[in-house]
Amino acid sequence: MAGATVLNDLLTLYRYPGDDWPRLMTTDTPSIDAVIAGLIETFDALGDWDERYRHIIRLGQRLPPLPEELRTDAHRIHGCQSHVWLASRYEHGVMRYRAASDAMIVSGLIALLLAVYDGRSPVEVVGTSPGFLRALGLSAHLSPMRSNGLHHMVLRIQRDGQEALSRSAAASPAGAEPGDMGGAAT
Amino acid sequence: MVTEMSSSRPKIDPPRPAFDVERIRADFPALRQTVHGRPLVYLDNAASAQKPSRVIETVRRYYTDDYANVHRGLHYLSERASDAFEAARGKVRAFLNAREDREIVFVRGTTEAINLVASSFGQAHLKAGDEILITEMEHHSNIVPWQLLGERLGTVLKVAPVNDAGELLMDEFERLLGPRTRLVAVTHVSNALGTINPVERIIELAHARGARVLIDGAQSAPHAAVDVQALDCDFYAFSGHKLYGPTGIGALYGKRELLESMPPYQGGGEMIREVSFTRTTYAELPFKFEAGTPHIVGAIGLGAAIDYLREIGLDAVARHESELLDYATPRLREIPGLRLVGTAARKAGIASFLLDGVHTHDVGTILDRHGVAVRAGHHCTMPLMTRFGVSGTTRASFALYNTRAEIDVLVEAIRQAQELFRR
Repeated sequence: MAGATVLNDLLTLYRYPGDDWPRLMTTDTPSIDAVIAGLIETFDALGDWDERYRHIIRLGQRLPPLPEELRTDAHRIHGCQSHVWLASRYEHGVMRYRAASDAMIVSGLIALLLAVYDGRSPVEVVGTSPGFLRALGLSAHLSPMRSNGLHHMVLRIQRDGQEALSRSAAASPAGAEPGDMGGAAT
Repeated sequence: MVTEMSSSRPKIDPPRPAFDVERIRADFPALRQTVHGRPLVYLDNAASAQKPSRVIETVRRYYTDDYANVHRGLHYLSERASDAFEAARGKVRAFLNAREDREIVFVRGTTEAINLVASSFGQAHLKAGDEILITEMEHHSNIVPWQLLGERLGTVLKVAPVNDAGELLMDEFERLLGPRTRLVAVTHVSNALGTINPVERIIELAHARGARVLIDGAQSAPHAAVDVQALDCDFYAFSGHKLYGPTGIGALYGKRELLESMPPYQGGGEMIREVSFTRTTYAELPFKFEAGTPHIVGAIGLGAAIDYLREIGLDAVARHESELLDYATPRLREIPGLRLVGTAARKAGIASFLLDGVHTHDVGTILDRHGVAVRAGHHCTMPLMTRFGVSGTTRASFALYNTRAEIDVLVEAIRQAQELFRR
C-alpha cells in the first residue's frame, strides 16, 4: 500500500499551514522514484477511467489556491484552453513549484506533476521524464497538441529546473542565489 | 428555424424519398467507430464535418486515375483534370445559385476568402477613415483581417452589439451603419451560439446606404440552401470541410463587376495573362485570384460533397437539424445547473452551454470519455465570450447524420459529468 501512503501524504501535505508556498516535500519524503512508483500503484488499483478521473478530480480539489500575485501573465502557460499558471522558485537547493488551473481535471494533473517535481533538486527535475504519466494511463494528456497544456507545463517545469542548474553552475561553488524564476524567460 | 433561409430558393431539385438518417449514417465510415469503448457521437460539426464515402471515393479516384495539373497541359490527363476542376466550380455556382462560374473563386476556406476580400477589395475601394461594420458575434477570422487592414490603411472597425439572447441588435446596427460605412461583414449563422442573422434585412439596409456586404457562410452553407442572387449579397464565403468536403478548400462568391474591380490577391502562376519584367497583365476571372496550382482534388471532392448534399436536399437537411435542436433544447434545459448560451428565436443546430461549477474544459474531457465529441472553449469568438462574461462554453453542433438517440447520450453524459464533479 505504498501508493496509498504517498497519495495520503500528498493530500495531507497540501494542507500544511504556515509556509507561503505550502510544502509538498519534506526532508523525509520518499525518493522521486518511490513517489512515481507509488502513484503508478495507486492508479493501477483504481481500475476504470471513471475511478481514475474521480481521483484526479479529488486531487485537483485539494490543490491549494494560487495567490493572486502569482496569477500574472508571466506565469501563464499558453497553449491551454483552460487558464494555467505555474510559478517556480529555487531555494535551499531544491525547485519549488506552485501552479493552478481554473479547470478541475487540469488541476488534478497539476497535483500529480507537483507531487513528483516540487521540492526536488534541479538535477532530479531535469532528469525525470514526464513519461510516468503514461504509466498512469494519462498518455492522451501528454501530446504536444493536446489543448490541456500538460505538455507545456512539463516543459516549463523542466526549463526552470534547467535554468537553476545553469545558474548554480555559473555561480560560486557555494551555489546559486535563491530567487523567483517564474516567467524568467520567453 | 433554419429552414426560413431557403424560402426564396427556386425549387429545382426533384422530389425525393423521406429523410432516412440511418441510411445517411451508413454513408459516413467514420461514424462506425468506437471511442474509449463507446460508439462515437460526433457533435463537433460546427468545427468540421465527417466525410461521406462519395467524397472519399472521389478523392481516391482522382489521385488513382485522373491525376494531373490543370489548365496547362495539352495532354489527356490534364484536360480531364481541368474538366473535373471546372465542373466542380460549376457545382459550387449552382449550389449558391450564382449567375456565372467566374464569380466563384476557389480558396482554402472561409478564412482565406475573407482575407482575400480585405486585401483586394480594401486596396481597390477603401481608404483611411472608411468604416467596416461587423457584429459582436463574429468569428476571429471575420475580425482580425479587418484589424490588419485597419493597420495598413487606417480603416475603422465598427461593431454592432448583440442582446442577451445572442441576437443582433438591429437598431444599434442601423445606427452604426453610417455615411462612411463601405463594407458590412457579417456571419450568416453564429458558430458559437447558433443565431441566424437576418442577413436579407442587413443586406437591404447596407445597400440602401451604399455599403457592400460580405456574408460569412461557414456555418450556413452546410445547413440550409443559400441563394446569393436572392440575397443580393456582394460576397459570400464558405469552407468545404464543414460541408462534408475535404479540408483546405472553400469558395468565395463575389459579384462579377466587383471582383473585376479588385486587384489580384497573390501573384504567381495561373493568375497571369502575360508576364514581362516591365509589365504583367492578369488573367480573367476567376483565375486572377487563383495564383499557383490550386487545391485540385479539394475542389473536385467539394463538388462531390455538393452533389451528395443536393441529392439529399438542403431543405430536408435543414428540417432534420432543426428537429434535432428542438429535441435537444428542452432536454438540456431540464438539466439542473445547465445554462444555454445563445437563445435566439432563429437558431441553427448549435447548442452552447455552461454547467454550474464545472469548467467547460472538464465537461469536454468527460464527454469525450463517453465517446461524445464536442467543442469546449471560446470557439474563436473571444469578444463574444467576453460579452457574455464567460471564458468559453461547451458546444454541441448537429449535422445531417446526427440522431435523437445521440442527443440522449449527450444529455446522459452531461449528467454523469455533473455527478463526477459534485464536491
